[in-house]
Amino acid sequence: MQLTDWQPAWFNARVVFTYILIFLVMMLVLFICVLIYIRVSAVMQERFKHKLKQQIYYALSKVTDDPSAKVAIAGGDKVFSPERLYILAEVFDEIDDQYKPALQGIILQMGFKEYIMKEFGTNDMEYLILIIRLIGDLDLAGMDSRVASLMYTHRNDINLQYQAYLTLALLGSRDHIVHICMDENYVQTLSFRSLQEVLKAYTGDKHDLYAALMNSPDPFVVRICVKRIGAEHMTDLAPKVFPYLDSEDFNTVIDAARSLGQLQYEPAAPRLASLLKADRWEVRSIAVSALALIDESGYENEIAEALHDKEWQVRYNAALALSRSPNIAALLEKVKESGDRYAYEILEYMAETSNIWGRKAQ
Amino acid sequence: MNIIYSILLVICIVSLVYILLSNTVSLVQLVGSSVSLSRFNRSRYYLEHKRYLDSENMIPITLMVAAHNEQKTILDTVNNLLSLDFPEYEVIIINDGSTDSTLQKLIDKYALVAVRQPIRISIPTKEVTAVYRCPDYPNLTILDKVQGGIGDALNAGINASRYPVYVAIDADSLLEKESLVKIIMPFVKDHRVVGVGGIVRVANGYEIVNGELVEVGTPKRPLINFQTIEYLRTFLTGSLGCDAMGILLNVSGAFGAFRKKTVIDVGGYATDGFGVGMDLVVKLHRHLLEQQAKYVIKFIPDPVCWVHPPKRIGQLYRQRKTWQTETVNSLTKNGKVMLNPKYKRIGLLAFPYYWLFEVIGPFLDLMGYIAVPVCFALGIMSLRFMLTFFA
Repeated sequence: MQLTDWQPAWFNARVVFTYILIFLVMMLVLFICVLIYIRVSAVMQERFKHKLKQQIYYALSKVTDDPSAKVAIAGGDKVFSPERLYILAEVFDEIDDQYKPALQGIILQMGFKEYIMKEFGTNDMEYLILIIRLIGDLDLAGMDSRVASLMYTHRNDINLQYQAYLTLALLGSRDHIVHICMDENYVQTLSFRSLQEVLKAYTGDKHDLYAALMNSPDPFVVRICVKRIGAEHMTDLAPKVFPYLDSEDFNTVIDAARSLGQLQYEPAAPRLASLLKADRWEVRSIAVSALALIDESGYENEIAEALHDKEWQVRYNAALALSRSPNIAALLEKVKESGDRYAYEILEYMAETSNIWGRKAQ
Repeated sequence: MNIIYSILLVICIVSLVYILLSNTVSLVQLVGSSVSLSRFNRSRYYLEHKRYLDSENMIPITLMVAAHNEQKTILDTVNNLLSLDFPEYEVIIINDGSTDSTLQKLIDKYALVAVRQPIRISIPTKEVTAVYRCPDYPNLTILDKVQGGIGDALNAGINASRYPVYVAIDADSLLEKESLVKIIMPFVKDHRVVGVGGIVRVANGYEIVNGELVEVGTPKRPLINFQTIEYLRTFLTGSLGCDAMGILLNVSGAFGAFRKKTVIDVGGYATDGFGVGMDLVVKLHRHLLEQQAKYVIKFIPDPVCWVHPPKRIGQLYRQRKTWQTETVNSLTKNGKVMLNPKYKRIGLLAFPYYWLFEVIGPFLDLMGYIAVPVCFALGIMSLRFMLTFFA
């Protein structure tokens, strides 16, 4: 029995397999050539990078010694190019903050601003995002409008949105940030934490920014402001946060409760105490923590009552809040008498561990 | 005799067709992964994570290690995990019924104290008999439990964890200092992310001190060398290629990060001994596609976990048998996903891909490697065919 005994008449095995063999050999040769090309390119690129970095550091040292010195990074016809920009970004990450102004000066006097104006139309997204990043790093005031317009052009690119937002924050571009956040047609694509981090990096007057953004029609933006106000201890804005304890969106209520607890805003205590009876366990659990931060001793009974909540997280937060109470022994006794095993176990554990580390580490 | 020859020839032809198909798919994966890797490499210039290292906006995480009879490596592992660069995290070691001195070594080294910690049972597990905490490291928790297997141990860790994202690693693995922050960044940047896999590399031949790679080398043993290359190929073309095509079904059990709530929603890890990698990811895909939820499960090549692979053929055989069994189990348990348009790319591409190239493929390869030379020796096949096959 042979291969030829069953194959159709039109099938010429010799020709077919010869062609396949030739094709495979060609692919192998091509593969080897590609490997060699990649290796050689990598070596040349590494040398170019090393040489350019040496030039940059040399120029930096000259300017650092003599701020009036005019030095440039040699580049022949192409002072700036995509490869150079990537290397510049690397150098920016490597040098200490004290040398950044000197590097900014060198780059700007070489016409960086004019160069990137021409590059805004590029289709290379990674490169465009890098340019946006460098605008922020180099503090190029006056380019924020272009950055903001790119946010509208590339709404679905999360990386570009994040970098552009960050650049606007670093430039202190209040008007553009407020405009974008107030635009009902603009859907935020950044995550909660990312947008928080961006606003945290804002270099302008944050009180003014958050006060403006809290009027945004987007509840997502409002929540972030509410959260940032608490995280950054802006006690003067606490009265603005207080009304959000009555928001229809439970997530906003949670963020407002948390912030008011961090701000230790006493007028919020009665409302927080009433939230211990809220329908949602998430609200109850954060209300317990916030109330404890504001007035633990004054609301000890209410917090102790939360130990008997049906939801684990509420009991946990209540026990954590009570664990440093001077009355802990009496509380433990009272909870034990109530017969609620779960409440007793969690409080006992918190009391036990607070003896080991204190409240922070639990 | 003719029948036998016919069968042999059919095997040869089927094997050749399979190999051509397999190489074509590999080429597509290679191209896809090259493009992904190039984009990822360039994105490092702006996706900086250092900003988040001191930030309260970084997601706190739980690091979980299931340990069964790991007395030789457990202290090094815990030491490594407690020294990582990350703002807020906890380490949970689950001692899964060890019969050696794994637990005692931990107790002695870290002066552990038994506490009566109530644990919220989100996923049923075997009994946790004791909980230990360390006065010097408040973020270290040791669970001592009845042996239930690695899946059961990780489920117990999930129950005890406090944070919304967890990372499960093997008991003999080492993480680089920045591995955690790199694997968590996708969760921070995109709320749809429910799972991220990092790259696992072979530590043999490398010198790693305090979580930093100080010297690069190659392993001396051929078996480990082979595994080193295989890991690189698997992760940098296989996983990255599958990720680029949106058909990633496997996040390594040695280094994967998951959103805790979503894992609890799918019932946690399987406890049949085979469910700590692919099984969980397949369950997540299935559950979230049925919910029509927007989600992302991805692989990123930057965060590295260093492992010590099997040194002997027997150990390697057992390891690969476990992995292959898990693959087959996952695919068969979720049979309704196969070629089902409701499950989009997972059902129409991922499942057929895994069935053909991961389950059936090795057999076709092996049969071809045996049948082709035999056919040539019997004179029923030409030299050209054989050369084409082996080329």
